Amino acid sequence: MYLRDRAMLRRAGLWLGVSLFLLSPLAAQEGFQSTGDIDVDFLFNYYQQDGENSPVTGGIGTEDMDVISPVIAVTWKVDDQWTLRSDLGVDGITSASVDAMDAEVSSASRQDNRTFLTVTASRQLAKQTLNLMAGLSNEYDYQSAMVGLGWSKDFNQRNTTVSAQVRHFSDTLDLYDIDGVDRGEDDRTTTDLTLGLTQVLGPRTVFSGELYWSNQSGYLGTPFHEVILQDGSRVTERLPEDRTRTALGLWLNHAFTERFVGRVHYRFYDDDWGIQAHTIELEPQFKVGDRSWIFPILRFHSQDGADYFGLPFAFNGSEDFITADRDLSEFTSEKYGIGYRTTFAPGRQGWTRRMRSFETRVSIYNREDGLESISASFAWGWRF
Amino acid sequence: MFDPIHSTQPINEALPRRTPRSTLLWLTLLFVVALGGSGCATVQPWERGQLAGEAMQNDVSVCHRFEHNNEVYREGAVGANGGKSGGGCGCT
Repeated sequence: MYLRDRAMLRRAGLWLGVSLFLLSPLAAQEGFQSTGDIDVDFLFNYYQQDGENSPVTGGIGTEDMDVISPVIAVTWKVDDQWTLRSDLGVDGITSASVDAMDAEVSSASRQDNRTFLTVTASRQLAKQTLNLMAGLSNEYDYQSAMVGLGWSKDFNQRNTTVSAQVRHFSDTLDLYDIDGVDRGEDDRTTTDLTLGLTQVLGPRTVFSGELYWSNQSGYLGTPFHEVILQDGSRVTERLPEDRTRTALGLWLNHAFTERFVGRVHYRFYDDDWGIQAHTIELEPQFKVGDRSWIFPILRFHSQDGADYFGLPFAFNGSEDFITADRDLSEFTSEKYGIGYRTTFAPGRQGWTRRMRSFETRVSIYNREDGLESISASFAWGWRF
Repeated sequence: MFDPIHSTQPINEALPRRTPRSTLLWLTLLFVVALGGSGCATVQPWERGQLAGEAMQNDVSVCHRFEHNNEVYREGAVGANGGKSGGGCGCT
């Protein structure tokens, strides 16, 4: 369906051309050899969801949506100190609920595109690593810019690593309502801080922890989300202009044998809108053959809803903040799937000699309120 | 018993909280204690063969980013999972 979209194909072709153009001077340099300096990963994701509680139509209506996301990630190890990385991608979004908006806004082609570029420069300084990040994202009604700084340091003969990262997002929204009327412009800022610790617990066990804090301010609602009041009238959702989130993530990886690695991740989340959540994720890895791994995917998530969420006809309209967005409701969700990853041995001949790795994974996500989705991805790694 | 379908009450006013907010403080304290005690284990370089394996790395699955991204949009809870935390929208 999407591949018939000529604009999408043109955009993907343009990006591929730009990437090759950027890489070609490097390849043309005298003395440039295939030294493994540049890794190029072609990633692709297809996402499809359906449900019956779209917030665009007040919590009643289809949530049918399809997204395709091609991404090109280029990592260039410039020398022993510097590494540059760029991620260029697009989300091609087709949403039945947003299609209800006025044709001039988004749905003439039933498709909206979000494009993004993130660039990271890393410098290795003995036992420390510094990262500088910058990113841009553009959607028809939403523009976002990001800058960030990261730092990590190894201690204890590299058995301990501590890290810190701070990012700032500055976003601008065009306030199109459900009728496609432009209500002006607003902004949103997000600042987040992450503190991390990775600790080797033994020859087969690694623990990681991450403490996360973020603050958002500005227009935090979605201008085309509606709420159906008790009298049947519809109003735009209203949410506070400030939100502070905290989360703690823990990872434990243990190699039971050379061919079986257990991996578990737990996260606790809390914010000042009233949401608390627990998430546990398991992705044990089983080695098949000499260079391949297969891994089942299991994830369980449980959250309390935000204070401002209500079902259709729950609010009388006098409340300060109201939303019918099920993403902010109380629910449990499960995800299950399977993945496969392989690396290619060096020394091959022909066009395959630059292939580095291939990965694919597919997962199914079920939310308690009936939302169901499937995600299928692949990544193809090359080394130049 | 609360009937979420026919009630006119916001759903979260009718349901009690399951976890006290202090849980995060306790978990944070645990994290800090772990940070403080992290210098205990020392695995020598020649013992690190399995630790260096790709399956032991947290970011081993490059495709995982897409599912993180989807979960950020479909759940109110984000952060501390390596996923996107803000900006960029794509929030349809």
